[in-house]
Amino acid sequence: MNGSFEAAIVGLGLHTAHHPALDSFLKDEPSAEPALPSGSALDKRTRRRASTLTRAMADAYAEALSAAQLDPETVATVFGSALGEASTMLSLLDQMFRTHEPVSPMRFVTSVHNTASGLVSISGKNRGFTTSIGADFDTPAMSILEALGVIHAHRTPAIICCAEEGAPEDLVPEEYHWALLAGAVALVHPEDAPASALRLRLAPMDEAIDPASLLEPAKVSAALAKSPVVGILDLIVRAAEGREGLVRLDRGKGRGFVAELRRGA
Amino acid sequence: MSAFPPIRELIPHAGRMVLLDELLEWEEGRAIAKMRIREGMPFVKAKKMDSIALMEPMAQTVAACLGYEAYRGGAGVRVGMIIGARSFEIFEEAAAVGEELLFEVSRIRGSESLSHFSCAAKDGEARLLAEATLTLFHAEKPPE
Repeated sequence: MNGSFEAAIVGLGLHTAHHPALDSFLKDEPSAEPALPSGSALDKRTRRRASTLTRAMADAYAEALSAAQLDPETVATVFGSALGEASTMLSLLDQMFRTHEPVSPMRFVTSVHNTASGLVSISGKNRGFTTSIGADFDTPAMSILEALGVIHAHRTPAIICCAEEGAPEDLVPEEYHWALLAGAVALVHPEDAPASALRLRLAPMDEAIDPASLLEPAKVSAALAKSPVVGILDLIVRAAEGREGLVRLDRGKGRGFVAELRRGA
Repeated sequence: MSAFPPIRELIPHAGRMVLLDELLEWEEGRAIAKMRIREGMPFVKAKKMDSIALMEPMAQTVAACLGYEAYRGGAGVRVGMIIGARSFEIFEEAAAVGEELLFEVSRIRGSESLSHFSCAAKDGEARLLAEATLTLFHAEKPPE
């Protein structure tokens, strides 16, 4: 594992239906009832039209942004999701081709893969780089790859936010259904970070890596474990614990990428 | 003479966007179609069609598979669209004008409105050019 770009982790954020923030997950204090994400980082007008997925992304993003104390107007963002706003898109397609109802232009705008990227950056008056990525179970790894490129090419901080809404019933067979999950990691160039900040590198899971050397995945419900972006949660939990080692980012279901965590010099 | 109706009667595409030439084989949930790459076709540049563009004839083969299913049942052509590519693997960078390609699709699972199809594109020597798992939304053709 050498030769790859490195970044320092300076903030983390998490949202699940039973854990509105990372702290509640780490303390294993789930809410009794599932709660919808607040989307409080979005302005009122944007929040009204935001889906559950976009609100969850906005919540995780805001937590990581706040922890990292980065400038919301300039920070680069990478929003990753395997399916994106699939529920909104499917309901629009039903309107167009089944019920033959007029389609709302507003809902169309929020049905695309980069909805969260657009709404979060508009709401935060962000003028920085933003993009969206979908790569199935490799979504967390590819989001990190994109962010590392941006950080090193432009020497700018970046926040990765990976999320998946609850699996749309028609789209995903029942045995694969997963629950809502959003996780965010704020990264900066290693030279711009405190020495104590954990360093992160991305590498393929090649034969040189002993599977026994991997940090164990986080303990999560069966429904969260099935999420295509559960790897971001594994990374966030181990980074929050300050652990060093390798975190597999796809739980064995993607092409196989690991994040290497190590302490700064 | 083909055992199947002309391809334009099976898929909703029109004009130059009809890339397939013929449906060759069909059984419920599975089909094979043929396409010869021609100069002037959409996606053909410098006498080549990049393999990434093979997603379109793959999807048209799915349309033909579902279209013939509907045709046999006395229904009209169905419209559809690709809403996701769970995977797309490219083994050869491009195919050249004049080459005849075969597209084989088989349904992994499906409902009235959504289907997941495994798709493969092969050249005349049965060499695999690209493979994909596509998710498609489909419905009856909306009223004019």
